[in-house]
Amino acid sequence: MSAISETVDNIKSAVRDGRVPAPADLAALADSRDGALLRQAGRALAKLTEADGLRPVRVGLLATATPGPLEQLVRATVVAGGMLPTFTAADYGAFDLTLTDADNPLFGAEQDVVFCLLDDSYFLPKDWGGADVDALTEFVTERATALCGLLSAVAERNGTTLLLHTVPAPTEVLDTIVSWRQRAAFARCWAKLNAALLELPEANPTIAVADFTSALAEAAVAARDDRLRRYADLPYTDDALVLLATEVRRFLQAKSGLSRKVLALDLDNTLWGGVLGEVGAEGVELGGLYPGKCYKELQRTALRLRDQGVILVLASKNDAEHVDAALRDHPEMLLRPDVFSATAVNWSPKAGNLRQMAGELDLSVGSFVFLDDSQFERGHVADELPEVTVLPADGDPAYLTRTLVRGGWFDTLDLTETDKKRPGLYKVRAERSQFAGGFGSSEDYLAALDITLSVARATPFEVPRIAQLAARTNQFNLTGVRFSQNETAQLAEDPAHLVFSWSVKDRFGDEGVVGAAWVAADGDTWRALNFVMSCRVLGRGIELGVLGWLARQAKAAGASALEGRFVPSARNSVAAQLWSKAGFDLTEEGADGKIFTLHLDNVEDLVPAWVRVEER
Amino acid sequence: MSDTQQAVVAVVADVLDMSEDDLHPDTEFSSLEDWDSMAALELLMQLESQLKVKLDLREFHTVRTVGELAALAKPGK
Repeated sequence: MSAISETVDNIKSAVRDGRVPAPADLAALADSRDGALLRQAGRALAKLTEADGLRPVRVGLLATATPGPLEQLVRATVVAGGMLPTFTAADYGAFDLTLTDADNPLFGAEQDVVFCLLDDSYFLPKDWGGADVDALTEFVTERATALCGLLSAVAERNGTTLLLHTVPAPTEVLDTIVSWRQRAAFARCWAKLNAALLELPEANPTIAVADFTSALAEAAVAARDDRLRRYADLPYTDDALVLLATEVRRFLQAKSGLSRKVLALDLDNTLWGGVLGEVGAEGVELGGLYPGKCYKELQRTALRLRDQGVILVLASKNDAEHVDAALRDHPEMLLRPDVFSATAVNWSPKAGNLRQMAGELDLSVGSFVFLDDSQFERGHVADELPEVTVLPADGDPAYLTRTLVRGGWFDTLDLTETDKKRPGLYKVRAERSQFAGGFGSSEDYLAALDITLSVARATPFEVPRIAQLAARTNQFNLTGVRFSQNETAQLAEDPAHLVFSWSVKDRFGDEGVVGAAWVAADGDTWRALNFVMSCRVLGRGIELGVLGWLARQAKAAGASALEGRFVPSARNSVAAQLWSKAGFDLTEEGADGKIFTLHLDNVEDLVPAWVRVEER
Repeated sequence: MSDTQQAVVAVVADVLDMSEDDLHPDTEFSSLEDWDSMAALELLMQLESQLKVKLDLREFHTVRTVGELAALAKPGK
């Protein structure tokens, strides 16, 4: 049969053997928009219980109509995104009732997201008269207002993360209205309904909205099948539901810290048309008319991603000096040499180059997206580094920009100041490692860096960045407890808790906010609930400086001991020594981790000599 | 089996997650495990997209066997 069923066959046999499907099959799944394929894959994956390497996520499903294959499709896309979902589905036909039920397990604290499938029938009256279109639009508006109220109430009451989507207008209704003026009025009322949904995230940080109507407009799939709708109350076709399932995958990736951070770009026939070594810098196609404009648009898009915190790196088989000259001197070039945080322009295999650049940036290769026109290079990288997301740049260059952005691999829930500065920060990192060469000891080097650690108690402005750190930090994460934005905001306001973040700067630049801690700060013993820090500042004693500051606060408040916990995960071994390095004693060891205690009575100051601590 | 019968058998096998060898033109859908109205609709959708045909839901519902479905779904019919 076709290649489609080969992917499904591979997935079925992997699940039968209790294995996570091979990266190539997951990549095929992530790339697919085929409802039939994803539905079968989703059904097969339901039997997958061993989830080594997949991040467990909990997904609630709530629908205004028959959800049909929604769960299978979401499972397929979410597994393709590196996660293993567990579903809770609300009862069919009880949409409003479920939303008003505060104790419904759907809105439990452990739920990562509740996806609400909305359809037009929810907003329309059972019957409406052709003579009174005004009454029809009034009804729709009232339903929309009521729904927004219910959703906001759930978000506020339960702190649940809700994912919604815009709803395509019912074209049968539109075409039943014969007056052009009134039809426009109804379309306008429907546009306002969607605008109201899109407005919700502004007031409710735990609500997110996907623009389904725009996705449908581009995807060339039918939104509805009248037979399915009338016979089985199925509001959308499988292919349309795939678009929504893809949005769920993107959202969960962003929320779970699985979004990619680095874009590795090939040059020849990717960032420009033609082969530099053959046609020279003057001969490459860039700018002007088609096809040169396609490459320029791709460069522009890469820059826009960089503005939003995506780190750009070069991975090209070329002579470095020719590439330098082309990037520097070509009048149409938008990606000048200084926008790349790392470059590997040489004749070595690209997999090794990507691995090396990941090392320089202190990021895992799993945070890389690799865009290349050569099937050979892509295959080689996919084979050697299956955790890299590989995107094809061959074929008509008109599709380049869409290929890069349509998977949403770089999605983030909210953009923070650190995101915007990240590419610059990572560039400075490379310079810093060169500066390190000239010192006799690492302490001399650290002293010469002029490190300043600024600690700040969490204010509402810092809460989004702190929540993002909690979601994204996998390695230096002491307990793995991921406090959400909402929980963080609540703890920050609670006098019995202390939530704080810290930023670091040195002579080379400002790293921005790099770490956060959540502490139960009352009574005789203060307990650190979690402590997370970006690995990019490790090796400078920052963590000791932070604990030193915390010990001072605890002591000043009259506490006699500070308690820390370490819960091992597959990826946090780098943080295992934090407490013992700071002089804490192991006091308890159990199934749920180790507890360390520091008695504050006559403890020396923990802050290293080379770190200056200030409180913002 | 005819080409259409073979194609229909392949789709039915996919949808119900069973072996093509267990399906014949005279196999009755109602005798198959996991056969329900949702499976029927999925079969309809996949058949239509793979065979590039459009079926009438009423006629589709009168079909009892794999062979009858192949006759209904014959391209160009």
